[in-house]
Amino acid sequence: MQEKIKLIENEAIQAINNAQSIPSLDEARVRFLGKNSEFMSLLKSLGDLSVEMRPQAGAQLNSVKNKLENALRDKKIILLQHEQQKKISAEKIDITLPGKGIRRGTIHPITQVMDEAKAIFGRLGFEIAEGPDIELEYYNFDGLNIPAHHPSRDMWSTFFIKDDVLLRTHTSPVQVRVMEKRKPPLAIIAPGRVYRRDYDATHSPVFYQLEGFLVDKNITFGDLKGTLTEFLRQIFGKEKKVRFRPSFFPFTEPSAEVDVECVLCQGKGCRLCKDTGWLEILGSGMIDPNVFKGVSYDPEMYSGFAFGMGIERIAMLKYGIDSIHLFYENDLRFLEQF
Amino acid sequence: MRVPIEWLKELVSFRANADQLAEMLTMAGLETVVLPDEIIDVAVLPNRADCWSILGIAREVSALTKFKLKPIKYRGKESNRNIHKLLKVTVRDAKLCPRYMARMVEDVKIGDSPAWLKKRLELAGVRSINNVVDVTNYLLLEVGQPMHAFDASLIAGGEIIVRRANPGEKIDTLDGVSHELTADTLVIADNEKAIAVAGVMGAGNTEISQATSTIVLESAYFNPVSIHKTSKAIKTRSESSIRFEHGVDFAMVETALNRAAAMIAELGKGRVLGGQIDIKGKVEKPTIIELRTEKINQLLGAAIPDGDIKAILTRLGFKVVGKKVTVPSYREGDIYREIDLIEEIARIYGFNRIPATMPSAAFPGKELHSFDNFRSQVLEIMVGCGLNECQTHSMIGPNDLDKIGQPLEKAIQIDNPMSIEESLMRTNLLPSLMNVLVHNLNRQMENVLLFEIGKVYLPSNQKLPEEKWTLCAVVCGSPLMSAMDKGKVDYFYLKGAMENLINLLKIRDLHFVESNNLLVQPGRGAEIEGIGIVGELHPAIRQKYDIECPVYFMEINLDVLFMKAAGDKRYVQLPRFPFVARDISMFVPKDVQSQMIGALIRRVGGELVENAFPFDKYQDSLAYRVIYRHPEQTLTDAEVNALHAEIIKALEAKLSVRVR
Repeated sequence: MQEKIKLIENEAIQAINNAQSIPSLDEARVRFLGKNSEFMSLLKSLGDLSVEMRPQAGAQLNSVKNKLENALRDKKIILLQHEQQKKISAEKIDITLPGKGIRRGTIHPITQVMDEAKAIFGRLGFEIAEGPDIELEYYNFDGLNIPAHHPSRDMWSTFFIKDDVLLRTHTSPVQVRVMEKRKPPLAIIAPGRVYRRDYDATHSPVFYQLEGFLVDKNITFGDLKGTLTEFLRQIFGKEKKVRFRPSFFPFTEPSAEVDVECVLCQGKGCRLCKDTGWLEILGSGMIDPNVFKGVSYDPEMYSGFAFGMGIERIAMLKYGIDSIHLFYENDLRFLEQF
Repeated sequence: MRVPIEWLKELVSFRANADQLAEMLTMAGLETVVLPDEIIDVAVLPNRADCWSILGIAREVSALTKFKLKPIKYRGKESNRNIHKLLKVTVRDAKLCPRYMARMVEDVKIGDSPAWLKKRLELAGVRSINNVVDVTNYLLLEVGQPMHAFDASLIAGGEIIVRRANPGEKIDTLDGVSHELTADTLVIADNEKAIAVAGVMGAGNTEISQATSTIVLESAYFNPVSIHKTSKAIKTRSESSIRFEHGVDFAMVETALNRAAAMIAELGKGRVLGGQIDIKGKVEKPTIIELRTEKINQLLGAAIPDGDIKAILTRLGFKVVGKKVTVPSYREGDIYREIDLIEEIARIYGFNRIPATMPSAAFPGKELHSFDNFRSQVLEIMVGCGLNECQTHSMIGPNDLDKIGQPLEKAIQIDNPMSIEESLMRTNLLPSLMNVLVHNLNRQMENVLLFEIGKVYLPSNQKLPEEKWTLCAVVCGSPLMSAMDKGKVDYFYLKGAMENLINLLKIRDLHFVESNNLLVQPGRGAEIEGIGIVGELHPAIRQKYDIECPVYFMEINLDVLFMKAAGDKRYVQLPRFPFVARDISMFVPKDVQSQMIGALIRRVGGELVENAFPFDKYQDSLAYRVIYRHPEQTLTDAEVNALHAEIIKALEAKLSVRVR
C-alpha cells in the first residue's frame, strides 16, 4: 500500500509538472484526485485495512493529498499567469495610431488677439462697451471734433449709407455714446468692426479696432504713457521698448502715436520697420476739451486719455503675417495654425 | 514733403546730420525719413499747414535746436510805371477771398531757369517749366504760399474780378481738363471769362508762354472750406489747393509776392512795376491765449519750469507776456486754446521726458459685459464641437443673396461701395460662409467645418438699422480626428452642436419642429421658433456653388438665445434611491416623430419618469428607454410594471405604434 501510494504520488507530481494548460492540469486533477481516481479508491478502501495499519495509511494518504492539492494550486497560478501574459502579448496595439473623437476647432487669430487685449485691459480695470457698426455721422465725426468740410475728415475714407448715416470709420463713436450716458470715473474699452474705403496688402475695407478711454479728475499724459506701455509690454513682451511721438487726431490734444521696438529686428532696422527700428502700433492722446463739451463734461474738472488700435495689425506683427486679407479668406490651412 | 538739406540750411543753421535731423523732427511730431542726395522726406500732419514749406520746417528746427531763423530777403527795385494804371482788381466775395494781392513784372524774357533753381526744384520733386512758373513753384516750396502768374496781355479789359462762377460756366484748366462749375466755386476772371479756379488751378487762356512779356502775379488768401469743397467738386487736387484748404499764412501773402516779383524780374531780366494791389477785408487781430503754467504740468503729469515753457513758445514764434500768449500768423487756425499751447510745449519739451505713471484712481472693472461673456461661451462650445471660427466681411453682393434666394430689398445699400460684390450690408451670414466653404473645397480640403459669430444688418423704423448678433455654421466632410474612423457630418451632427449650446447655457423648454424654410431640403431641417434653424442645405442651392457633397448649416439668433440663457444656475439634490430602466421596442408609423413618443411617455408617466430617450433605430423600428425613479422610495417591480404597461397602452392608442 505504502509503495502504491508513493507510486501514485510520483506519477501525479509528474503529470502536474507536465501540464501546459489549465485543461491539462484539470485532467491531471481528475485523474489523480477525481472521484473515480485510484487515489480515491485507496482512500475509500482504508476501512478494509486492519486497525493497526489504518492510522499510518490514513496519515500517508492525507499528506499526499495535501501535497498534490498544493502542487495543483501552485501550478494553476503559474499557468494563469502564463496565460495572462500570452493574452497581454496578443493584445499589443500600435500606440502611434491617431486618437479618436471630434477634432477640436480653432479660434480665429483676430478673436484670439482681441481676447488677449480685452483680458489685459480687464486686469487694468477697464470694462467693455459696444456700439453700432452703422453709425450716425454725428457720433463718427462731429461729436469727435471733426467738423463737416474740414480737411481732417479726409483722414478717413468713409462708406456712406445715406444722408447722415455711415459705416463707422473707427470705434471712437463709442466714446461719445458712453460719455453722453454716464459720468466719470470711466475706464472703457470698445472693441468692434470698422470700415474704410481702402484696399492693399495692409488695408482691408473691414477691420477690427479696439478703442479705449479713461476719464476722471487729474488724469495726466503720464497716465496715458504708463497704461499703454503696460499694455504693449504684456502684448509684445516685457523687454520691448515703447516710444511716444507727437501726432494729430482731431479728438485728442496732445496726440501721440505709440511705437514699439520692431518685433523682427529688435530695433536694428529692417524691411518691416522701414529701417526705423520702430513699429507704429496705436494712436492716442488726451481727450480734446471740445469732445468733453459735446457731452457736457467740464474740461476744467475732468481730464482723460483715449487710444485706438487696429487688431489685425497687432496680429500681423505678433504672428508674422504679411497680408491682412488672409484673415478674411479663412483658408483652413491658415486658421489651423493658430 | 521733400526738403533738400542745403536749402533748409539757407533758412536756419544747425549742426545735426540728416539722421539726427530726421530723429529730432520725428520726435517732435513731423515723421521724417532720410532719402539719398541729402534730402529728408517729412510727413506733415493735417493740422500743421505751417510746416508745408522749407520755412515751416526751418522754424521747427530753430525751435528744437535753438539756432536762430534767418529772414526771407528780396530786392525792392521798382520801375517808374505803376500797377494801378494797368490793372484793376475787384473782389466780389470777400468771405471766400479775404485777401487778394497782385504785382506786375514787365519786359520779362521767358526762358529756362538757371541750373541752381532747376536743381533745387528737382531735388524737391518739382518739374522745371520756365523761369516764371518755376519762381512761383520755388516760393510755394520755400514759404508755402501758392501764387499764380498770368500773361497780362491775355487779361481782357485789364481787370481781374474775383467772383463766384456762373452756374454752368466752363473752364479748361492747365492740366487739360474741362470743368463745368457751380456758383459754389470761386473763380478769378477778367471782363469776359474765367481765367483760374481760385486756389486750385489756372486756365490755359492766360497761361505764360514764350510770347509773354508782362506778367500779373497773384498772391492771395482763399477761404479754406471753400477751396476744400471746390477741389472735391471738380476732383482736382494741386499743391496750391492742398495748402489753401489747410489755411496759408495771412502775413506771408505779401512777403512771398514781393520776393517772387523780384526773383522773376531778376531771372527774366525784366522790371517790377511800382506799387501793389492789396485788397483785404478787416484784418483779424492775432489770437491771444491765457496760459496757466500749473495747468500744463497738471495735465501732462510733468514738472516743466516756467522758464522752459516761455523759451519753447518764444522759439516757436509765440509772444509771451506774463500769462498772455500771442499766436503767430502762421499758426492761426490751428492754435486757439490753452490746450493747443500745452501740446506745443509737450512736443518740443519731448514726450519721452514726461514720466510714465499709472492712473491714481482705482478703476474696478465695474461690470462684466455679459453679452461679450456669452459670445465667448458660444465660441468655446462651437470650437469644442469641431468647428473652425471664421471672420468674413460685413458686406456682400446682390449675387450672394440671389444664390440663397433671399430678397435684395431687405439689404441696406452702401452709397459708395468699392465694388458691387461688397455693396450691401449682409442680412445673413450664410453666403459669406458658403464662399469660404467653396474656397476651401477648391483647395483640396474635404473636411470643412466653419462657423462665424457676427452681426447681420436689417432695416428698422429707427434712424439706424437693426444689428443682430448671429451664429452661423456651414459644414461638410468629417469632424473626426482620425481618417480611420469613418463618419461624415450629417443633420444630427449639427443638431448635436445646437443641443450642446442649449444644454450648456442651461436653456430649457426649446422644441425642434420641422422646418419649411426654403434653404433646407424638405424633411431634413428643423427650427426652434424665434431662435434658429438647422438642416441640410437644399441641393438646388449647393449646386449653385458647384458643391457636390451634402452641406449642413445652422443659424441662430444670439440676441434671443442670450435672453433665454440669462437664468441663474440652481443646485438640485442628488437622488437617494435607485432608478429602474425599462425598454420599449416598437414599429413606428412614418409620420410619428421621436419627440412625440418622448413627450407622450413623460405625460403618461408623470413625475416617476425621470428620463425617456431613444437608444436604437432600425428602419421603422425604434427603441426607447424609460428611466423610472421615485424621490422618496425604491420603486417595486409591480409599481413600474403597472406604469410601464399604461405607457405602452397609450403609445399604441395615441400614436398607433406597434410594440414588439
